[in-house]
Amino acid sequence: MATNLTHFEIFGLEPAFELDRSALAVRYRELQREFHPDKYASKSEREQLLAISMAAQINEAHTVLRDPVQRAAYLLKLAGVEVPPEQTTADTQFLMQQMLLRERLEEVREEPNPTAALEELAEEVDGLCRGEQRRFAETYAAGKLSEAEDSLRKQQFLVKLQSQVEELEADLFGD
Amino acid sequence: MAYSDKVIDHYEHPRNVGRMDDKSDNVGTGMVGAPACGDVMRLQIQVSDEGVIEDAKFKTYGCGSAIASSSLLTEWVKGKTIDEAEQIKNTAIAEELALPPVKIHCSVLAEDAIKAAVRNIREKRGESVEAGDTQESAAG
Repeated sequence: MATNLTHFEIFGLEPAFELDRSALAVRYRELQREFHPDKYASKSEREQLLAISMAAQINEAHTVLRDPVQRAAYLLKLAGVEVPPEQTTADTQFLMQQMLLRERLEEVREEPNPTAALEELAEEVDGLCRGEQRRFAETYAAGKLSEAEDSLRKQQFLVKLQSQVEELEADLFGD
Repeated sequence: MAYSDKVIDHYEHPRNVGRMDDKSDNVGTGMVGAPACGDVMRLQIQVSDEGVIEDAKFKTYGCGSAIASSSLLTEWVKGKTIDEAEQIKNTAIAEELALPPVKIHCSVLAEDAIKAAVRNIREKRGESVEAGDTQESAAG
């Protein structure tokens, strides 16, 4: 197997945002078995090294593909669009909404019913996230790369918020 | 991540947290976000008729470096003219706070926020925002 395959090619998948997660998981297990170092223990040093590098590549590809934000960024990269990490966004309306959602998250503890307030917020954020994922899939498939890029940026904010919601959930109801 | 003492100081005791009335004629608001880490920053300045920044407030949802960068910036811009404030470079913020390379983008966010706030007050006052922009003649 050549080492210059894309993450999608490694898994025998079409380069698209929507992906069959169970097919990914099945193929991942197959590939892991195929390139397991134990299978190469009696092989030449060169073959062992190749297997190790292949196993690392499989893991990297799996990590990127199963995560929607990383997958979206990778698809854009394949299409020649790289988003520099220091790039900022000034989409005022979207940022206002993000600020309000973060304020609500901050105030969940003071709500008369924090559980319900947090659940409501979590659902809203999940909905926004799914909406952006759909938008990314559609715009990317249609070759509207700047719209896809905008959608990726929004997903990044929403995913951050999602993880903060989860942190608070763990804090409030967790062990 | 090892934060510098200055970052920790601003993070634990942020200066000028709050909000101003963004509808007010003498308030400029800058909203910016850093997609890479999902940080959101709002920076507001209260500007005199002479163009001097009398007060500044911020609210940042983000990491310690982003909070420290915006907190420091509000201290720096007070008393400056909007022309001067606009010239503040992220590198000066990063240097003052001794930000590690992976956190430089937090200072970029702060620089973009003050620029956006100045742009907003200029728009409100009908000044041309950038060379090449058409002069608005609405507000005084």
